[in-house]
Amino acid sequence: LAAISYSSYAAFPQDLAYNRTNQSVKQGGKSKKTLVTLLKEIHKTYKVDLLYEAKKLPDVKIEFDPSRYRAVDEMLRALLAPLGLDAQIVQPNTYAIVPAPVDAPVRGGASSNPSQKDKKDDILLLMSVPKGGTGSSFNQVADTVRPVRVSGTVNDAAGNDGLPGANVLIKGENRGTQVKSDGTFSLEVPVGKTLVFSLIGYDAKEVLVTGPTTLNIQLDASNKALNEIVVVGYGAQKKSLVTGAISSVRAEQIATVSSSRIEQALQGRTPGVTVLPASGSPGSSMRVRVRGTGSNGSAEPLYIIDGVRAGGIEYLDPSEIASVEVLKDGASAAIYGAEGANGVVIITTKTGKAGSSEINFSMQYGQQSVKNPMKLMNVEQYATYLNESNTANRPTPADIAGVKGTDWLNEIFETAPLQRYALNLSGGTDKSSYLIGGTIFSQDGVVGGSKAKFDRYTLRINTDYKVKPWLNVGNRFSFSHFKRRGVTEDSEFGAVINNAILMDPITPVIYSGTLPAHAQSALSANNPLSRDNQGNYYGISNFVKGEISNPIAQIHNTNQETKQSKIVGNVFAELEPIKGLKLTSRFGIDAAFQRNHSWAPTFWYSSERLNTIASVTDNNESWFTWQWENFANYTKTFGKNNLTVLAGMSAMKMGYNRLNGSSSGMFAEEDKFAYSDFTPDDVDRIAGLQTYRQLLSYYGRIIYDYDDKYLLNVTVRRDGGSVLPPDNQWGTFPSVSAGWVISNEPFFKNSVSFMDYLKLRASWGVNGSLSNVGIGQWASVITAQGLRYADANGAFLVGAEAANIANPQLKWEESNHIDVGFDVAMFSNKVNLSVDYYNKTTKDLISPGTAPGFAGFALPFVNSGDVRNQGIEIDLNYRNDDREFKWEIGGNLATLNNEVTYLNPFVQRLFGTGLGTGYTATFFEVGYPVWYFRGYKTDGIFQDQAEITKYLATTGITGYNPKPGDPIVVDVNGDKSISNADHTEIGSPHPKLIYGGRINLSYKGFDFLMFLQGQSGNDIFMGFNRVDRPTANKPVFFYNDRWTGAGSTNTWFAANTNSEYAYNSDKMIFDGSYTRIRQLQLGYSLPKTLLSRASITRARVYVSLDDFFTFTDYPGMDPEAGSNNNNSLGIDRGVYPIPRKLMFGLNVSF
Amino acid sequence: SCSKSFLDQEIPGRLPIDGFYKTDADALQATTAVYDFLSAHYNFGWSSLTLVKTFPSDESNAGGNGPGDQPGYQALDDFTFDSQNEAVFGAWRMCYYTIARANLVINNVKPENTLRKRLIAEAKAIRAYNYLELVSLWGDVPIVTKAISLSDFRNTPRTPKADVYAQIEKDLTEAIPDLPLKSEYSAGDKFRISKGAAQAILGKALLYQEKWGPAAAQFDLVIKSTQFDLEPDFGRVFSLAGEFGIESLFEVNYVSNVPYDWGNFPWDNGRALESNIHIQLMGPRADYYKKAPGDSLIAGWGFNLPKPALYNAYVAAGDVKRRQNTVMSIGELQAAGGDWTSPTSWDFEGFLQRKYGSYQGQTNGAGGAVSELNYGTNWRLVRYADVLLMAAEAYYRAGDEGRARAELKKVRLRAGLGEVTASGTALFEAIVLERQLELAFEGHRYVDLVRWGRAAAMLGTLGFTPNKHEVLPIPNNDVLVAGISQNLNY
Repeated sequence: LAAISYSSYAAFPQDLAYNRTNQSVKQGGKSKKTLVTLLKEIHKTYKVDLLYEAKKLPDVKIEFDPSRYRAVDEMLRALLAPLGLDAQIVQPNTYAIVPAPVDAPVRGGASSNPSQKDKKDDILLLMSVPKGGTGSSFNQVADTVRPVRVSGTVNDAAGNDGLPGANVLIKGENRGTQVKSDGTFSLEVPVGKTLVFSLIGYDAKEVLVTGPTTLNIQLDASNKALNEIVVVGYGAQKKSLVTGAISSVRAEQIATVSSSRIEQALQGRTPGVTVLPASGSPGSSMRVRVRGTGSNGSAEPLYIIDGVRAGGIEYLDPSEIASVEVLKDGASAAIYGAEGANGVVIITTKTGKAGSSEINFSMQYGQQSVKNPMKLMNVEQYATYLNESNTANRPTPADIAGVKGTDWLNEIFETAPLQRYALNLSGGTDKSSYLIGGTIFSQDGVVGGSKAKFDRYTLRINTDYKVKPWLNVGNRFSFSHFKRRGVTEDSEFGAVINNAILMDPITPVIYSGTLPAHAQSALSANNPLSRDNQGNYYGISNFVKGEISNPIAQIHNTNQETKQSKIVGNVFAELEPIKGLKLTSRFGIDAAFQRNHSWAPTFWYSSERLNTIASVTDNNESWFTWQWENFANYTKTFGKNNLTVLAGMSAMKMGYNRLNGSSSGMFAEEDKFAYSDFTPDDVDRIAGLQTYRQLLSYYGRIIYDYDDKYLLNVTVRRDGGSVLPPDNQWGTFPSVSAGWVISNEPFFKNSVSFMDYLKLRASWGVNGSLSNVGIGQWASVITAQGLRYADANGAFLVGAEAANIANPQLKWEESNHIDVGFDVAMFSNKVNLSVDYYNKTTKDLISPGTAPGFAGFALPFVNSGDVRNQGIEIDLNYRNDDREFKWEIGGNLATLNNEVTYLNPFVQRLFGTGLGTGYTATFFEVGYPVWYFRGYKTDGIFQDQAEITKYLATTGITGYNPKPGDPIVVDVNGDKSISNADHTEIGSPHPKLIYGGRINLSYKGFDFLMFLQGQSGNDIFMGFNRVDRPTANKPVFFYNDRWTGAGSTNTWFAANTNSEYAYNSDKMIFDGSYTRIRQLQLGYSLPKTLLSRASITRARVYVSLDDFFTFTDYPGMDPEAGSNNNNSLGIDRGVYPIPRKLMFGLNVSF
Repeated sequence: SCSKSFLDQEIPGRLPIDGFYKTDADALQATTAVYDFLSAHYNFGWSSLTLVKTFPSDESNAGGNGPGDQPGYQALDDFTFDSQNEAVFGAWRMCYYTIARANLVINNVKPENTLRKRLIAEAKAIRAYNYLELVSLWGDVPIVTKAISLSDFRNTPRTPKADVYAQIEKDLTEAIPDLPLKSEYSAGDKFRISKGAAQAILGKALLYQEKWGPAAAQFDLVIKSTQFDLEPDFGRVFSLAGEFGIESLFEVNYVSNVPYDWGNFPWDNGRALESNIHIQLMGPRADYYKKAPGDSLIAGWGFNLPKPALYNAYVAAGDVKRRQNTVMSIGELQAAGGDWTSPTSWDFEGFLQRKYGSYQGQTNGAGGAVSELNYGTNWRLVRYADVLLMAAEAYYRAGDEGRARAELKKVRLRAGLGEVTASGTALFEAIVLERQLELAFEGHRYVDLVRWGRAAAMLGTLGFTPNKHEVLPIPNNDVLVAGISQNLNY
């Protein structure tokens, strides 16, 4: 803090002569001195208190002789007036140094007209307080004067928007008020006290009260980023003093997203955080990767909501969120040591503000659609392709004569609505505050419509009470209920969208007239062919067999629904027995109760996909986790040393309970009969399980800084996990981080004027992960599960055996994470830049164990793999908001370099996911990215027989008999044959670069937002094709781009439906880079003058195009949507695309 | 302490090892687990021991949809398999996993009463059966007779074949006295290995070692035991009715009543699978197959397509009965009113397999069950016809041609063929031919050709390389993890 105040002397009027007689005065003399020096001398010599902010004083040297003046005020004015300053008496014997009135020769004083906007500087010394005030300034001013009424407004820098909820506190006391919803405040303050105006995200301002007045305060958000308070786990820190790599997302950034999920908020907004929607279907999950994929198994970050670990964040509506912090580096995450290896996402929900009372309502309504789904071959193209590839069982000319055909992708897509409503009531006094909120979200699927619908309802009650000055208690509670329906996805074996791609175009959706022979014969054989609601039979393919079937019929026959009720929340008490020591005890639960209910009608799609008896399946699951945390924070300042010490413990028990069953023989194929009470008992089946696991943790942290310049943060956490072998349950996870705020160094201030802030920081931390360890997986124990063998009469005998080879050395996965970075604010804080380099190695990955086959048992899990992720993250923002036309542009990008650096040397590679039949597409291997794509490498297309002959002769390859138009397969291992041994790396699903960018513009009431996000350098494996179903349809580019004769193309193969050299090769690998404009939004805030008549404090309407424009070269449906499985990343089995949305929204506050 | 008890982990549904193997019921369940693994032909993906032994022979082609369909099987058919072949690895593991479960019984069950002695003997016989598979397919293999821990992985080298055979003989010799006759087992227990089965396996082990006299002696014990006979009708042997019948010494039991549908089939957990999915795999490919109206051979996925040479061998031998129950030509299919629409489909040479046929009657399509997934067809591991032919061979080699002809005659007469009167090499050729015709698709041919030294001649055109393909490669996993040696030229 640059402002100074010296101890006051006896508070009586003085004259200079008196003082001079008692002091040996060293007069200013002839030498030049800086203004600050002069002021200090005046203070000492004349025993007056002078209030000023050194930083704001002009840096000039002056010749000045104080002894020439009779009175202090006269002397000060003489000194200051030439510099455009003025001295104002604010208290007997105390002067504030303020800017001189611009056009008023007479000092305004405390009674100056508040309506004159330009007078405000007349009476006020406005000071930015970068650190929120350490409490040493002005505190010696006597508190003997009368209280006066101070009222006014608090607005943002442009003066447009009131800032309800901003704190107005009397400095050094715990008294104050909050800015009301209309932006005004009023309170009584003794003269001479200082008022501090503060709000998260804005610079605090301090105002000295010199008399009753009306203030029009503008809080400056200019170095908002640095003054933000960021939640760091068991505490909070000012961003400017943070030594780790922490990204924050604020409520306003995600207020208008049209996703149901918070994860979307992180996408493109935080460098280094990759968000991968598993699907575009309503309510589908997302996978979040902080700084790359760090494991062969689950690499999801840890979610902490209001301090309590949560199993997931799908139950939160974006409108409930105050802020999201992502602890990216190892040191920041280390406070959650045992489970922080994949990063930590900390979510803080909104609460009521003291002194406020408001109602917020927001709503969105939108239409979702998919424009131009992938084009497939039409009837003629399909027939030609199968003809050219000489595929068996292909349609004859008679089969296609006069057939208009079906574009199955067009058939399955529809326009679907999305809507969201949120209502929050909040408020509070200085003793208590509350927030009661509720949201409704409803989204239909663009495939499946109401059969793929997601509805969610949430209720939240957050309250805080100050029971005693030393005791706060409160709660954060949320209840949510969702209902999700969905069609089958992400499988090349019979999923709806996959089948829409593979189904032949000849088969109609429904038969309107007489059935064709093959359908008639299926019907005649008493097969239950499906019919639509009008009674028409659904089309049955005569060409594509197996599990591939009419997707519209599948949608029609889909009857499944998952309902979940969830309670997440905690109660807490915070004690402050002595100043600086805060004890917190918090008990939280995360309880979810879910039922998945489905029933299958009888149907017959083909001899391989049919259901001859209607059946019911129910799956009841519940999760119950409790967590009890006790921790103490002690903050102490001595001299310029600031120290915060944390110590705590946490105990957690996670329970899981499942009861599921199925039964067959529904009395009637209707919803209301789809319960096992109404089916014959003798075919009921039941299964169930209950498990518990525990985690016990102790943790401590020291945060130290010297003079806001030298920052140090040391953390250690020790965790015990019950799932590990008893002798190996405990792990210790340390971290150290340090920072240097160079801009607070005197030499820097004097030399680098354009830079307002510069901090260098470095961190190292070790974190753990147990997310891939299951209960008892280290142990060799007797099991009878699934073991039965029929005797010669067909009666089952139960078998029992010792399962698995014991691995008593099983331990935590452990990440070792280094981060070096800097934060800069420049050009009056208009430019903010953060750059980080990180290098994270996750060691001892819990990988499938590899026992020799002769051991006779599996070794399910061993610690046997390392993955390194490294890269650079850059976050750059420019904001220009000191005019009426405000604009802001920001961007972030991160490079990702992912590589497996160690694997059990006895294992060449781990097998990942299979594709089609029998082909493994992804592997985990040293020197390659996690679960890279592997297959044949090709080098063009054979143009003619001569080229083939030459190729075989040159390479000496035998046993390989390609035809012209086939891909040229490379003999990678040089063994002169083409076999699986030639499989090699053909692609990686991991982006090399991820980025996001946004532009915000506002002018008067209008605002405009463009937000884009993208990635590049990742590959997609087009995995929906099936070599074992050669008559399946394909994207039209297979036809259009195909080789049709010598010289036609060297990039795409001739019509070919079954070659592994085409379908298990790099021909199926495509560049998955994309840029997607996530939001294009135009908003209008209604003028206050209009609103005030209706007691509305603010109202904004907007239209938004969400996910509307995508730039990609990927020829499939959607480059973004992926897969649910960790080892299936980047494989397109027929994804449910992310729909584009046209949204209309409204926010109103009362 | 308090923290320790808080971290105590309950492992649901599991028992510590030292709490088991105490009671008769424990011993029975532990032995059931041994039998259960015999059925795990799909446990490690598609890796049936029966097909792994069949595809490298001249009986059939892999088939399926194309060269990329189940590449493990395709490579076995084409002699392009390497040490990473998934089917080879699966079969190897199937043997050793069965052995490991037998070891648990043998080492942990105390032989305190007749039942437990019998169960230990069953386990020893099954262990021996699996070592015989291992030694005949891979040569020198590690002998594992106790539980292997992490630290044993690299201390378990391959053992010379002779020692493996010694272990086999020891196990069987110890087991035979404690095993009951087949007739002494109750109807439900007929799946258990009997004294006769153990003697037949011992005879086979001795035969493979060319210990002709002792081999013949074991077969003679089986033949004289009166426990077994040939089914009068060859077709009945592989029918549902023939399962655990008079001709059956040892078979793997599957059932069709679980019932499976496309939703509940345990694709990811073949261990839990109770039906024989390989029968579906071997059914005529549905894409091209039109069943003859009177036939019950229904469509499948088209693997294991017979070669013309096999069909022609039956024709040349005038062997109609066994041919009709083993292989069908497309001509016959069409004559019966069925059809095959794609004569050029992958690996198809004009014939369909009917021994382990995808017969409607052996699966279950009722009550929601899906026919494709519910074949209850058992694998016949040891049957009496094989015992008689092995006996014939052993006697022939031991110099007793009369006895050799006598045993051969039984098999030929049942097939509706005449007695063989030849002697010398011609008699041996007759035994060779008889084994081909009688035992096609049962997994004997490849091993037979190798041990007769005829593999190069018979399989050379199919890709068989001498000094390599006499044995399968040791799975790469075991070579790497355990540091054991690889077979020659792999």
